[in-house]
Amino acid sequence: MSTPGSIAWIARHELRLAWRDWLAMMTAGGRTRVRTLLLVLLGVTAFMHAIAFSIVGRFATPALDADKTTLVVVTGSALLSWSLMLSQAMESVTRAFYTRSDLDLLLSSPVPPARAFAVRIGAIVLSVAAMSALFAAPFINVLALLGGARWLTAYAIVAAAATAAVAIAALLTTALFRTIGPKRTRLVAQIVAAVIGAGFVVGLQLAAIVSHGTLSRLALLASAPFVAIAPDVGSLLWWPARAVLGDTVAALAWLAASGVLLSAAIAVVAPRFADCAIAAAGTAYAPTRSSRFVRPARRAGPRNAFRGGSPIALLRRKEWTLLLRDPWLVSQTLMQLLYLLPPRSCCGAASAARPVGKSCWCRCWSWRPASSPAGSPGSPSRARTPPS
Amino acid sequence: MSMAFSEPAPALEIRGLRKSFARPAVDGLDLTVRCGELYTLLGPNGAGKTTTLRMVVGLLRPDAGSIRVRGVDALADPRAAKQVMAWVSDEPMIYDKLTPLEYLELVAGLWGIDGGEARLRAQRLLDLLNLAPNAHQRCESFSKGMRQKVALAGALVHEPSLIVLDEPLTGLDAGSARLVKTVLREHVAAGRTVIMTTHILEVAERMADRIGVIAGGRLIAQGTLDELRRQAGAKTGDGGQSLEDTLEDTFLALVADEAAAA
Repeated sequence: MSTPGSIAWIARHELRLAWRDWLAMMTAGGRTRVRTLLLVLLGVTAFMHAIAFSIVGRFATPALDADKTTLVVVTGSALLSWSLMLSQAMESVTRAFYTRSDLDLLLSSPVPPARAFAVRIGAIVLSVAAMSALFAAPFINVLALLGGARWLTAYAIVAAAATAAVAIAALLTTALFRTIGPKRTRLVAQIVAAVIGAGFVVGLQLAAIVSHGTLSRLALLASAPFVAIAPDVGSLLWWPARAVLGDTVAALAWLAASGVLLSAAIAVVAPRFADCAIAAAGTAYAPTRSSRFVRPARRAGPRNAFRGGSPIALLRRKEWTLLLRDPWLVSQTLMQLLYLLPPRSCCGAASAARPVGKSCWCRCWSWRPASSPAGSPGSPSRARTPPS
Repeated sequence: MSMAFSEPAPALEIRGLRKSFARPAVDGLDLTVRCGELYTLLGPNGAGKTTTLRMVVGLLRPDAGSIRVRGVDALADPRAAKQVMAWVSDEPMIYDKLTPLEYLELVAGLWGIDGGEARLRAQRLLDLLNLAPNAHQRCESFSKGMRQKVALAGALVHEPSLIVLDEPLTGLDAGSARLVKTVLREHVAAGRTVIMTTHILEVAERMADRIGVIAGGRLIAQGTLDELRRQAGAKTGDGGQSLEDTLEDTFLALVADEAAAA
């Protein structure tokens, strides 16, 4: 049994909470619904595997030739996924600093904050890896079933990618704290996460549309000019792709490298966690820029007051006011728009491509569940807003 | 020649404490709380009470000044200071998905108390606070009063020598409030120290050994109720307030200047 206050002890506590939260979320609090949940999960799993079979079943040859085009396409796809992982990790790490929840209890206890941070970071790695594995698992399983166990190394790459993403996110967020201060970090981290997450995906898609007139990002990656400028097949750059394709040595190397990176990040960031979290707490007491605008707005008279109009109009005005006074909410909303724009515009341009656009749309939203403005923990004013 | 029996270190000693956000929230605060007393901090909204307490328990970093908890420099050695302190905020965080028993075991563990001892203490506290029937029920269904009591039990489970509470009685029904007051008084009677803020002047009047009045981030008056009455009388120039004056009258007289300035 672990010693009270140790990393293992805190981790056990976090796992217990995470498990209970997840179970409550999935069963809506009803214990009798566990059986239904299991049945639904089985159904969804089977459905996802059927979809995966229809997409990648024909590629599951036991000896897939790792030519240059394959390596480029696999690497590009992996980078796409990784950019989204990094974006998700940045949001989670930022939330670890800014969301008070139990930080008061942990930081007022004699447990070294570095331990709590190490556990939090570990939990973020697990959640990012789990979210990615959820989407990747059907494909990996189908490939492993039809093409051999070597495909299972892809799981190691998912874990390594999540680990590296969280390590870099932790370093980036701490660097932001030190350079621009706690007041601006939350907003800027959100924007950086959006740019990282959406920038690569949207950029590649736009390039595909412009150069090939297609929504498929893979078309650009597999194109002859693109493959021609890529490094030779012997390059170290292709090690992640080789690992995905079943190279055990490459997979282990990436797993080890990401582990070292995460350890280094924890060693660098953990001692500063308490300072960052305490500084972030301090910003909660400081008046925000928007609140300084309240007085001029009041002086401006009835134009800015909640006077007149129907209840619906009042509620709409209230929503806009809250949105405009919280830059973090604005950035979240703009980010959602950023994700939606390319598929939407393409769907409008080519009705034949509408199903593809819809799938992109679904994917974007499914990747960003925590950034919904109404549900974000850092936006109490919106979260407490009654439905209008 | 040194004294054979030196004075015990105060439970809390604050010197020149400052913290500014857009404006000074705490502005050169000096405060000493003796061991074994129940000290209440009073002050208008925004006076700096909560900011002061959050700095004491290590949740905010002061811009200047010193904080010593039982002689330990809380800024230089926060772990040692936190070891003997407990903190209950005005909106205490209780894990919804834990039962009170699990929560208390968790808090005890954070203070390094092993499982068996933690469970014994937790059960004793749950009995004391009338939470025993709910010991195995998750906190998600608890009322605000029950949550406050669980949080208070969490503050007591590691038997700290100094408990710091921010508005502990807000939102409690009469029965729960009386129970909490009794528990806090017993804690003080056992030689430990309680520092709390409150807006309920009747609570300060009845419970506190000494009362400190904060306004504009500074301690403007301190003492027993009678001492405060005298200070308020001297301030208003009427040569001393009547002993029948309530703490409300005294408090309003003391903070009149700050209220006018605001």
